[in-house]
Amino acid sequence: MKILDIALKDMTRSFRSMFALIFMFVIPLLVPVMFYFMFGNIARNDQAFELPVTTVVIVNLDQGSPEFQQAMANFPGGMQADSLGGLVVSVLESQDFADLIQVSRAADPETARAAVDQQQAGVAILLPADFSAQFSTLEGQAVIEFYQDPTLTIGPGIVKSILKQFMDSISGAKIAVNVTMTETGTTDPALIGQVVGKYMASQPQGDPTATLLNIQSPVQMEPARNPILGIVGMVMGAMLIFYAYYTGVATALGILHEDEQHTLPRLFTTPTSPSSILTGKFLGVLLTVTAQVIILLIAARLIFQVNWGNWQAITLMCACIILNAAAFGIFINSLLKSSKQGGVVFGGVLTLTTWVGAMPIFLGFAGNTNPTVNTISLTVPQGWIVRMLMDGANSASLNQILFSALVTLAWTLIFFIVGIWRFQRRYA
Amino acid sequence: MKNILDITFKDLLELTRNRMTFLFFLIMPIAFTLLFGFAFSGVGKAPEDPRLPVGFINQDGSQLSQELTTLLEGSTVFRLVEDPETTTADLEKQIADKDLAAAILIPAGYGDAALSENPVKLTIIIDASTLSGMTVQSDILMAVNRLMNAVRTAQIVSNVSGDLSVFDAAVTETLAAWQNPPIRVADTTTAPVEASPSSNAGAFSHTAPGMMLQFAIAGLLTAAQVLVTERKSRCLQRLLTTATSRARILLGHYFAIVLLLLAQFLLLILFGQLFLKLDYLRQAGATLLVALTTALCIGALGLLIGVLAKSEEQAIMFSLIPMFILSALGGAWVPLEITGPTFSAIGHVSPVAWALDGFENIIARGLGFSSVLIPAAALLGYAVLFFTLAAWRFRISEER
Repeated sequence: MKILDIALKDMTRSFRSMFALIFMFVIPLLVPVMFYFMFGNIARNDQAFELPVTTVVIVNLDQGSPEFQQAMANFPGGMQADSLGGLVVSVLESQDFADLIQVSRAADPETARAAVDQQQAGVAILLPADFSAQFSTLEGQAVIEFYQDPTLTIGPGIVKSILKQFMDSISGAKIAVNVTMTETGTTDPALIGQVVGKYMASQPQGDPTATLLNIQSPVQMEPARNPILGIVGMVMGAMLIFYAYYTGVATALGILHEDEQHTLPRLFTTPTSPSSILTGKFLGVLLTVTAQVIILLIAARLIFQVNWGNWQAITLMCACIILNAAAFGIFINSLLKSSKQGGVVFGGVLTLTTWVGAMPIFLGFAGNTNPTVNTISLTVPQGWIVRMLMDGANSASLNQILFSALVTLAWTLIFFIVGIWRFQRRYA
Repeated sequence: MKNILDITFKDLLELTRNRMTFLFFLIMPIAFTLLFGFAFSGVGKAPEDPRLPVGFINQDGSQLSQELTTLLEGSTVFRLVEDPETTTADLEKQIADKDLAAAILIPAGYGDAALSENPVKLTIIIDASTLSGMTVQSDILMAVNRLMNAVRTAQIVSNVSGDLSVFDAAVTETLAAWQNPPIRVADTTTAPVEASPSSNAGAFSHTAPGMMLQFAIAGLLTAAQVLVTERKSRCLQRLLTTATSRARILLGHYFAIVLLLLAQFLLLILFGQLFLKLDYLRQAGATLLVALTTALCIGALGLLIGVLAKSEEQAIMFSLIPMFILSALGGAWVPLEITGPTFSAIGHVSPVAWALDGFENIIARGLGFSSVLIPAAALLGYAVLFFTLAAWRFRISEER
């Protein structure tokens, strides 16, 4: 009964502190909210992937060439332009790509490059004066300068992909002409025009991806899951783990506070054994972390619709978080000489161990699948819990999760035994 | 002036005696820069071939499938991983486990069908919702497109010449021509970035300044606590009874925070320059201007927090919550480029975004001094705003 009294007193004290409440509930929910808005472009209306619109500034200095105009006369309808540069501009400005690129024009390369440098545009496409002329000569090579902001990746990648696809279709026509001339020895303009016409007519209509590729999703991947909920779920999981450990350490810090305020030595003068007092303190930490974890799980489910996996896995993971965070709190505080050292523990030990443990989550966002990092993350108990979280989200079997749970429990046992032993020795 | 400097030195002494200051201002940003840099740079992957691994099965023994294999092998985006023992199910599992970015399956009869009216499609197994998946798909499409163009060209040449025997030679010649296509897209960027390929701009140019700024704000909790402690110990009230004006007291505290932040920035900039190969010193004047205006801005925010906080706990809360909001909003965690359009648009409400612009203009974009003037002006504007608010709050506070 005395154990329970001590535990409930500590828990009540934690929940009465506005500071504790903010760190237990507000910040762990605030960070996933930020991520939700950050990655809002990834999935809206369930599955649609919204690509960013890239601002492109074009400088078309192409002066055209009589040869090019003659060649263009052989193109089937719809692809008429005075110069190759004009053709490129008309394609990029077409409504087909209006959702992906926003095109503006500049008079000279310096202005266009300056627009990219000043972040008014992501890409500058520079078409030189001899663009058509180079393309029209037999051995010539037309060069487009693609000047991009080096800090951008996605937008310029999309623009380049569009540009290359179009350039490939034009280049293909010229290659066809060159090969015909080489293989047949002809220079007859009428025959060359016929080749160009046939080549253009043979191009597949519609989306080339649908015509040439049979795209399949890996069947072993969970289908139709909103990616943003996956990201937010993982971030929420990382926050849940970090702040559960924070609560474990902060609540256990109460032992040192009580010692410094001399209420703990007074408690030792009562007919309550030191082991009962320490057990009560541990139970207080355990109850506080339990309440926090349950509230955060429910809040994440209701606010972000986080799918935590099957109930056995999530129960096991929560039990491991609660027990390990509480034991970790007791252990870490047993190493401290005074509560003043608590800040270093919160800022240093806790943050670093959790972030090392949560590295696989953030590596996953970055597309890094380096196994070394996964191994490093398992050097801290938080890493094993993160592994349980990720396995649970990937619908791993209970046996796979069970192994991580056993390792976490082993850590818990070590923390608990060492922590309680040190406290007992201190207050003996 | 002496009064101001006395307060500044007292604060600095107090702050440098606190181990937390070093933890937040130096150790944490370095640790997190390395962690995030490690994550985003892919350090530790096979350095000999950084291309994305793509599983490959060729069930077709034709000449055209061999040509396609050669085209795919030439990709700069992905590398083919071929294992005769691998099945389609194995590949699917490896993609699901993220061991492979995608898989390509050339079905039996692909080469023969390519010559007919109804060519067979190339099968690719891919998670097209990821950025790497989209990039790989685009490059595969380019290779297939070139192969089909070669086939069509050879058919046209055979047809025009009336000689079917030229078909194979035409295919080979067409594919060879793609090695040096008639139109080439030449990638360029700013001259300093092109001139220094050894710089580590890609890996750390975002995370290093991002973490530096995040922990500069987090570190305000120690600086703000100095003011709180001074108020709680009634030291501030006693100070106000002296001839030292309110403005001088405030400036004294402000200079201490600014000097501490500036020292932090300079040390981390030096760390970045020496160990992360980030070329801050290429434009030393510009770097100093951004560091100074950022220190003035974040220092003023720290002053405001110190004036507003009534207890040490409030000082921690008032520092860490802005840290989370301003860092995330300003793009310190994830570049604003890949965030949603709304988030990206409002990102520059955060001074962190302006400071990042300033530092990235130097180390990532390789731009000159003039490129940091607008970010510096914006940061100075925020500094004035925060300082004015702090001065106003201090004036109307209970210490009057």
